[in-house]
Amino acid sequence: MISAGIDVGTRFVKACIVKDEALLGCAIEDVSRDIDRVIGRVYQKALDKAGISKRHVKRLVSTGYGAKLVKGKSFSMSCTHCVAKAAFVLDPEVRTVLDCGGLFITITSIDERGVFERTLSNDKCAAGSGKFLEMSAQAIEIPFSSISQYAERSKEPYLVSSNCAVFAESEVITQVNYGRENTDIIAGVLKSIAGRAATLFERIQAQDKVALAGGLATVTAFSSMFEQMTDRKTVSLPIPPQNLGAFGAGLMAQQGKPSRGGV
Amino acid sequence: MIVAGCDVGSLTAEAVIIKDSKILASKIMGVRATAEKSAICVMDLALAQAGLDYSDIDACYSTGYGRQAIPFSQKNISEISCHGMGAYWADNSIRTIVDIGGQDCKVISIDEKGLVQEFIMNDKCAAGTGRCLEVLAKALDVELHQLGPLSQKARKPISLTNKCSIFMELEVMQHVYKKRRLRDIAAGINNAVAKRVVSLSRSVPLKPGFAITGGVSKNVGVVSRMEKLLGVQFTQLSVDPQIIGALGAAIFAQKENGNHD
Repeated sequence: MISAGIDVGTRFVKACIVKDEALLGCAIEDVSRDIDRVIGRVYQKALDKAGISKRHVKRLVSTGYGAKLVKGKSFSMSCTHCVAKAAFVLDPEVRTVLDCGGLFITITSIDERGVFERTLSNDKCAAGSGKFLEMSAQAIEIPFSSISQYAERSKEPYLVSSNCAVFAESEVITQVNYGRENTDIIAGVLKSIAGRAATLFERIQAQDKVALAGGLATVTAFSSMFEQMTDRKTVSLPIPPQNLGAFGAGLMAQQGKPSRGGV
Repeated sequence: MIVAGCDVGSLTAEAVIIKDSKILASKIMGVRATAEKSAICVMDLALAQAGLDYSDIDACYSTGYGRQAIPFSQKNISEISCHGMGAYWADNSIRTIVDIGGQDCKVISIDEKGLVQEFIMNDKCAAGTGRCLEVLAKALDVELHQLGPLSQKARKPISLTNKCSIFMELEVMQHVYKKRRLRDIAAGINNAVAKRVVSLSRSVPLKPGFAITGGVSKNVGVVSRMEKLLGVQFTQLSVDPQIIGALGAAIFAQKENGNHD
């Protein structure tokens, strides 16, 4: 059976086309004002990549912050459930998933049957989120995709004093004006973000194996800093970490609407 | 005697020149790369306006976020004291000053001489500052100065439940997705910022005689919402509320260096 999952996140819209437990095609695009069109376009792109026509999709499940905005869905599922499901299907030994997305950092633990146990998230403030990194990188003119390269060249990471993402942005601009290297600044920002994730991570008493999901997981310097801070190894999953939510939604669609919560 | 005050904030810099208790010149501009450059630049503009030179200034004090880096200033004074003194000088019935700047907000309680008694300040989180308004105006795709007038036309203001500016930005986007009217979203933004400042102000004694200063005081939406929430009326100051900090610095320079008030 063929199903689809669409994850309308805070920063990106992702779509995955799934057959049984395999990923056929996926697509991703920035959110914008005209969200309906973006969703439609991402869905179509994923279909094109999978070589599937829309009418063959038996079920469509949406997830993410804007799950309700997806039209023609069978149902919506919470993103924590979807990400956990995806990680567990890709690697059944995963017990903890750290999802570092645009605005939210969510830690989910699952048991050995893949059943959702509990979750923890930054619900008050965007300190330490992907947006925090994005804003800082933009302020010092480092493209998001090159963040790791810059950070690895740093000898003396700058200690960011602001916890607020908005203030951190002005803080890094000030530092550039004082002549500090942008490599040191970006390494410092990464460190502060990884520190936030690590703190949340310690609170949940995470079990091995640990999988990383979300846009921040694509930044290798972030994952290695996180590994260093928590003294853990993270597993690498065979699909891009940003697509885990949409893939999980596609997997949920395979099963049909659950009567109650649970992966 | 001619004195000057210079206030270098996080987003704007201001300079005021006073001669014999009259404002000769005042200038506001966006900050430059460093506090020093901003200070020199804005002071040059103010001097040009007054037709004076640096050598004509008898004393100059500085204040604000970048106050320590200003080469031509003899002394730096905290922006809390300067806002208190500046507002008091503009209107001596003022006892409580709400200052909402680019990077922080504070509520200051002053005595009958214009000196600070108590104050509370938020400089840890951008919510309830000008920076927050800037971020949200950008999300809404309107100019910062339009937020106030736009919100006055609102019929059904949205409500923003988050406290973090970035989360608020996301909430604003959600309302944009739902095609809510710009004016209703703008009103929601102003109300949220006003609410943050009001909740901060609860921790100082609010004595009658209210003034609002700083860049955000130019946003009529935030101001009217705060009046409603606090149940007070802000006194209209005779000078531009954005130059109050620099004005206060100049008044201190005059008090400490001259013999006439």
